[in-house]
Amino acid sequence: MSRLLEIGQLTKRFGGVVALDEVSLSVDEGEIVGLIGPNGAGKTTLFNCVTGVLRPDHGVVQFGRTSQESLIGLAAHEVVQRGLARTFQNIRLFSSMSVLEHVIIGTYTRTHAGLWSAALLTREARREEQWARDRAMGLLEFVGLDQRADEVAGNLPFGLRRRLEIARALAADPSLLLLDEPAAGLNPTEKQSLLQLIAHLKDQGLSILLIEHDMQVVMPISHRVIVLDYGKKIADGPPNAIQADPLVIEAYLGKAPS
Amino acid sequence: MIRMVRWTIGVLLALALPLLNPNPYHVDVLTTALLYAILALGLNLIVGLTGLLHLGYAAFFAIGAYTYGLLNLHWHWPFWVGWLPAALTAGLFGVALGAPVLRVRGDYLAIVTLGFGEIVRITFTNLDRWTGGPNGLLGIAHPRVWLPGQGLVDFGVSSVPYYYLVAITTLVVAGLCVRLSRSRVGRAWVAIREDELAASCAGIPVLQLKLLAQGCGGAIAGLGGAIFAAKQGTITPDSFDFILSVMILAMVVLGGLGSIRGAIVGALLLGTLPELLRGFEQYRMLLFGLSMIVIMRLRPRGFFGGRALGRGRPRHVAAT
Repeated sequence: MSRLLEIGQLTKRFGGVVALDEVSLSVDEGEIVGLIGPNGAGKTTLFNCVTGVLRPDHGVVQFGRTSQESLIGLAAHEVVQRGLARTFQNIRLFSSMSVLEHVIIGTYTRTHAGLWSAALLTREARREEQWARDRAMGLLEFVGLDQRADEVAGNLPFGLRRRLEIARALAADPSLLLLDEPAAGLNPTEKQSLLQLIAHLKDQGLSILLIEHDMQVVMPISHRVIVLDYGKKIADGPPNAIQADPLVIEAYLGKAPS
Repeated sequence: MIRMVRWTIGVLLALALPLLNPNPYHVDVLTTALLYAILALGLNLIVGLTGLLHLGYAAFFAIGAYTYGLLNLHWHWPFWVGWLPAALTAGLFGVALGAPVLRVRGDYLAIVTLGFGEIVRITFTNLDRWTGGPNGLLGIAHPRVWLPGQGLVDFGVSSVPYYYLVAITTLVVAGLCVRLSRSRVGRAWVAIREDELAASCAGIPVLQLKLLAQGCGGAIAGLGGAIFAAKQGTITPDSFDFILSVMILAMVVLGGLGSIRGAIVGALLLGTLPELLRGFEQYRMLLFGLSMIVIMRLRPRGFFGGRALGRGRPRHVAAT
């Protein structure tokens, strides 16, 4: 398997707080990697540094299927353009827009119509619009939201909003998907169907880096699990090895009295 | 289908109005209100769709008016050519202002744009050599059209030809705005308004699109400015004061942020209301202000709006 994402010595400080401390990790093509760690361990900061939302203080982020390219210093939309899409822990939707429009927005980096073609409504622009619409409907079907395509996103129940965020990210046709706590706040049924959705994506060969608190979600679907604690990587390995790792248990439960 | 019929009737009625009611005062009031509608449509792209609070919009109107005025006075450019550079210059200023300024957001952006509006007005007041200072530009040519059998006809001082010019321009601008708002670009503008971070992480180049919105909004105001200069024949810096920026913003908010119909209705209402209230003499502006308060109290999101002003500001990135 070839390397897709390579992070080396990634460091990010907020004032005196070291949110990420020389973190190195990698994701291979087709791999599902779980990223776990207690609250404040730096998981979302890592996502933000990789996706161009925050600028890391130092370190390298290399990404690409055939040839790797540095993502450091790129703006968020340029990262998406290169095939890396994400979702957010605290769901971020465009509340006044319809479900379908969200997913069409996701195709932005894969479409081209500009001011003039929109104003003149050229044949090219209309064809592209139709293409984006069809693609968005297909993705909504995939995540099970096609029946609610015309609803306003703000009216969707919580669990479906998560799915909509995933559909929006998928519309950018990413080769690596970053999911930030997709199961947070879901009930057990919703969690199960989310797991199925991720399994489908896995079958399609999509690589996923997944932040998750819920071990029942991470362990069965991840090929590999990485543990962060206080901004440092403390473990990296197959799920069963991680569950038995004394350092991980200590980070989550505290040190056993000896 | 019904919508089409309604629109057609509305447009025909608008075009027939000077024939039905040839009172020159009424036509003039409506012409001014429709000129406001053009401005409101442009500002709606910036404030309504993209969510950038702009308090200096009259500056773009001024830049358009002065551009046509200067081109006409110095090089005798006719209106039918001069409006284009007027719109382009104002659009360019929109982009040029945006580049350094759009990194500030929300209320801060409002303050910076307010400053921009004032600077432009003060610059025109003080650049006596080119702009005539506080006296402004005098003797700008009215548009002229060639009519069969009559040769070149000057628009002159009667409001009727300007009414048609402004009404048709409003229609064209509104049509363009509708198309834009339903396009890839328009959707991206709304996405930025709703959640900037989510928009950029969905692949939207936020800064570039904000500049585009400012450029388009500026160009529309510039076009309006050229028409204004051609109609008045005289422009002075105090036609483009802060109150005008605020009034246009009020029209957009009253109509409903982001709504194209709303911008037109808001402009027509606020454009004609002070004249309708003339009978109340010194209480006129009091009633005008009062009616604005009442409207906003009854319809806080404007006539056709889905969003209240100041909502949907960018939230901060969670730092965990």
